[in-house]
Amino acid sequence: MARRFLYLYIPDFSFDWRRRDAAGNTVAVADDARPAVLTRRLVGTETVAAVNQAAALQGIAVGRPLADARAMIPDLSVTEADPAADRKQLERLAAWCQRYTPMVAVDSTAAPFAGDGGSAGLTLDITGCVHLFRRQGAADLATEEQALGRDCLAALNRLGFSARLAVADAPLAARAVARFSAPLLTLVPEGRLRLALGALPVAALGLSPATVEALDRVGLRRIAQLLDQPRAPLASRFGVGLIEALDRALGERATALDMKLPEEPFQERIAFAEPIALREDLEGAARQTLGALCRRLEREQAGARRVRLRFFRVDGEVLQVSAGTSRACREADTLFRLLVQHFDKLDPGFGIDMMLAEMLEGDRAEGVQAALGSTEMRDRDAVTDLGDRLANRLGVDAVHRLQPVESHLPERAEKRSAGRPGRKALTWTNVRPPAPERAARPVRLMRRPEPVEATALLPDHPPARFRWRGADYRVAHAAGPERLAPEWWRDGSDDASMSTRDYFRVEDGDGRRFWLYRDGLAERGEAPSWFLHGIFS
Amino acid sequence: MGDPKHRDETGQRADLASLRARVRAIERGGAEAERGARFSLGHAALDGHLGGGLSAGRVHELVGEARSELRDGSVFGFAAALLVRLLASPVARRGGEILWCAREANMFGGAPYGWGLKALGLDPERVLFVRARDETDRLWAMEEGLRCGGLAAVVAELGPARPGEAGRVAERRLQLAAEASGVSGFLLRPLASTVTTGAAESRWRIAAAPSGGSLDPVWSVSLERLRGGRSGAWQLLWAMSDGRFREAEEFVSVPEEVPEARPAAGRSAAA
Repeated sequence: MARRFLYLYIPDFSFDWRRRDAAGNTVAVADDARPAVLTRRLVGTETVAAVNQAAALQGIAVGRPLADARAMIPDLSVTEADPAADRKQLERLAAWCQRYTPMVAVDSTAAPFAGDGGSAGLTLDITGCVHLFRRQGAADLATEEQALGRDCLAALNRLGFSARLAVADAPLAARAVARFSAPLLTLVPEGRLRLALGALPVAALGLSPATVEALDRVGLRRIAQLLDQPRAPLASRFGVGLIEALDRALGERATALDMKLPEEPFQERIAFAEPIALREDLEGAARQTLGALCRRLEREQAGARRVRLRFFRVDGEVLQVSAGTSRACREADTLFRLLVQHFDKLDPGFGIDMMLAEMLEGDRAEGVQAALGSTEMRDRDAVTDLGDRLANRLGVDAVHRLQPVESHLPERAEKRSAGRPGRKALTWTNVRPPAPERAARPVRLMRRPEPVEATALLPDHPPARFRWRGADYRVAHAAGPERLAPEWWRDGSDDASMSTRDYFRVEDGDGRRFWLYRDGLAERGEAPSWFLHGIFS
Repeated sequence: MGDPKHRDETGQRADLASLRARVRAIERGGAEAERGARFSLGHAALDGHLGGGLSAGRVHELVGEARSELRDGSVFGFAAALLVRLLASPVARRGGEILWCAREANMFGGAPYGWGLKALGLDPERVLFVRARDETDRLWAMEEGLRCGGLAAVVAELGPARPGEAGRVAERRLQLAAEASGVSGFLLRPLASTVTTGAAESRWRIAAAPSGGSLDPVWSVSLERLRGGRSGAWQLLWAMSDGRFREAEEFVSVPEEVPEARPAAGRSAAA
């Protein structure tokens, strides 16, 4: 099947979106026909940066000083140009367009990127997407495309945009037709590109003004005239760019489109005849789309690592929630549970008319089969899912496992890791334990050792008593010292401050046991300071 | 069930009691049979008192001695010891994993330390830790864990029990979740007050006891409440190398005489 592209041209884009208020409602529709310009300060002069169609009809051109334009049209509406805002709005619109197809590209040759007024364009690859708009009784491509186009025009209209659409086999052809012919919706049937393009001016190919002018000088004004010319002289006279543009318009050369999403994405959508807003409805729809997504994952032997639900609000806003899993997953229930935790923050506004479930990251088959594996594997998966659920609510940092590290420094001897250790990782069973005489390690370790006031009989003795967090402890038994020297071979600068530590396991009269250390070498006459680093059970 | 070496009269009573429990469980239905499962603590007298061991698939409350924060590790050590026993027993799930809901700060004398847990006999590999800022999140995490059939147990470091209905409801939920899944729950609490919601299966109070300098910890353990059972008190030594409880010999602690460097302020706060 041939690829089909829809080009969506909004001549007054920069003006249309500005008429929408903060809530997304279109305001001041009555102003439609009023000439308006956007201005930009250029070398100290307010200059017209964009004009709407009404202003263009009255002869105001981009680049004119504002004062001239004001003189021509006294009631001209003037706004300062803001290309960044234009771009942001266009990207929002592109996201909105994903209701039709996942593959939407912003046309970066149009304003607000190039200087041709306040227009904007989007290219949608609608190959294989139109059947969603199949009406009863109709099954041919043209009717379906027409239905999609009409739906799109009407929906854009509700959003306050007046647009012109064209559907063709090549993106550049669709663009040319949409921008350079008058009907609101033009369908170029498959394989009829030459005919459709022929009547259009050569400028429709997106050529540089210089090339257009050069062609004009030799009387080549319509694309049909170019199509009749032999290629080689055209190329030598007007540059290879012209031939390339022709080829791309005819679909004979591929056009690179900066699509927002990769091809064949794992996506499932559901549209609602009546917008929904109730929590139960949203949850029901989420289950339904996730179910469909997971069935497809199942079919294609893939599993999702990150999924997203998008809710298209009737006012054009797109809400989204996403969740990640640490193992590739294709169980709709699990994904639903992860996502539903975030539903509280969804504001359906006046309703949601479409919903989309999509996989953002995923893995092929491996590891997904576990669902059919042993009970032990199922238990492991259940625990992994639990970890995901906890991490999705409490934060990724909140969930961790402990992994041993080969270091004799207590605080370095373990690290937090996000998931299960890999096959080659050091584990608690294969790590070299501390020497048996040093096996005593506290059940809890302070991240930062706390200073204590301690008194020892002799400088190199264990403490006889100490004071920690406002309470005094008398030492009944002490074992040690276990001397731990800084790991001087490491580059870490924090070691510079660390001196040798002598650790003692001390027990008070009631049996409470603590891990204390003396910082500094007593035999070198360094002033000892004492720290509590952990508590024993 | 007690080790054959220790089998004495109490051991036989324990066997009988556990048999009765099993019969009761079978009468109540097949699923109930597993829920009525118990795991032995490897200490004949204790197992006997408990009717064959501590019940799995229930929530047990372990209370430390300090008022608002725990300043020694007895409660954690005792919890770890119970987990070692649970994982060694056939009632533990095959995956045998544990969720440990820890506190955020240094409040409880630091964070759980892998090497310390390993020394006690608990393989840190099997523990999934989750840190939550507040009590609500910890309780939520614990409940999620108790509903997850893949786990063997969930441990939560909590603050003092909330008095009144709110606390009772919270614990009741945990208990129901544990019963439904067969996952055991352990609530670790400081002794802020005598408040007990009574919803947990049992309530234990753990304090450090003099060990005479041995590496194996000794605890004075008192069972303050046990559903359908009696209270009791024991001095227990946790033999780290073979992973079972032993009767602790009495150590009389006599601190060495120390020349007073400055007047002792006493230990009022920690008492």
